[in-house]
Amino acid sequence: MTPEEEMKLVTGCQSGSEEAFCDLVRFMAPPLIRFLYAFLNDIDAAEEVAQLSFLRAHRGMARLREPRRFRAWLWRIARYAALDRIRQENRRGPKHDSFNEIGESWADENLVLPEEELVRMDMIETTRKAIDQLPPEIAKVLRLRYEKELTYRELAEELGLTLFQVKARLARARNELRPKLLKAASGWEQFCDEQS
Amino acid sequence: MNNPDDDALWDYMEGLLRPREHAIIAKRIQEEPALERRLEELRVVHQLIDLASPPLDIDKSIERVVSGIRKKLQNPKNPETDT
Repeated sequence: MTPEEEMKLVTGCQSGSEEAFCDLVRFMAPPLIRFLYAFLNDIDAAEEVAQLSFLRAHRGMARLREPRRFRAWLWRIARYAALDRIRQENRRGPKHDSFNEIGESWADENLVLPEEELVRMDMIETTRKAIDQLPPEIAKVLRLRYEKELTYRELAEELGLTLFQVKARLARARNELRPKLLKAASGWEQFCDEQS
Repeated sequence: MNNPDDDALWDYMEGLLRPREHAIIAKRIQEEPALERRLEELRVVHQLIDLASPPLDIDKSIERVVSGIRKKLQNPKNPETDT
């Protein structure tokens, strides 16, 4: 979808078109649900928070003065909704354990501070943005490898590439991501060390 | 610039090497601190990509979200609209 098409859907929603809104949801939902799932570690919660975020956006749509800012606005709504959800879960009972996946140095399963939640959210968003900045044909191979868990052979068949081309594109993707992600990781690690 | 050992390290991490190749790389990692550090760096990159790209049946999720939204929009007085 081009930015112009996206704008058209947003202005359609602002005029009250439910169909335009549902089309916008279909378009925006995949990255949003993945982000929320990565953060919340629970698909039901991710879908609930995504739905809530879209409904809040729908309610506030008339107040959105710059339709081109819809995407950033929606993600802001979703970030707050996800943090609220985590806080509610923490008040209810056992600590959320979603900080334990990324590496021992950044997480302590017995200590879940709001700052750590923000760091985790930042890790996910920074990584996704870095992937979004890759050339599309390179990002596509990486996404299919991780999001669909395709083997190299399956990737080659799906994309009509040779195994060598698949490996070369994956290598390029990872090589471009490496300095950006390591730089960010060093900042997160330092932050978490300071908190402990 | 790509490190000449990166391909082998990625394959090592993803379990794509033959047993003999795996053993050779494992031995080199033990013996070469620079290679071990490089492996740790790649592991962090891999974990971050993995974290940000969870495998999901995204089509089903989208359908559930859209269907939930349609229901709420058609019943705007539903007190659960915002839950």
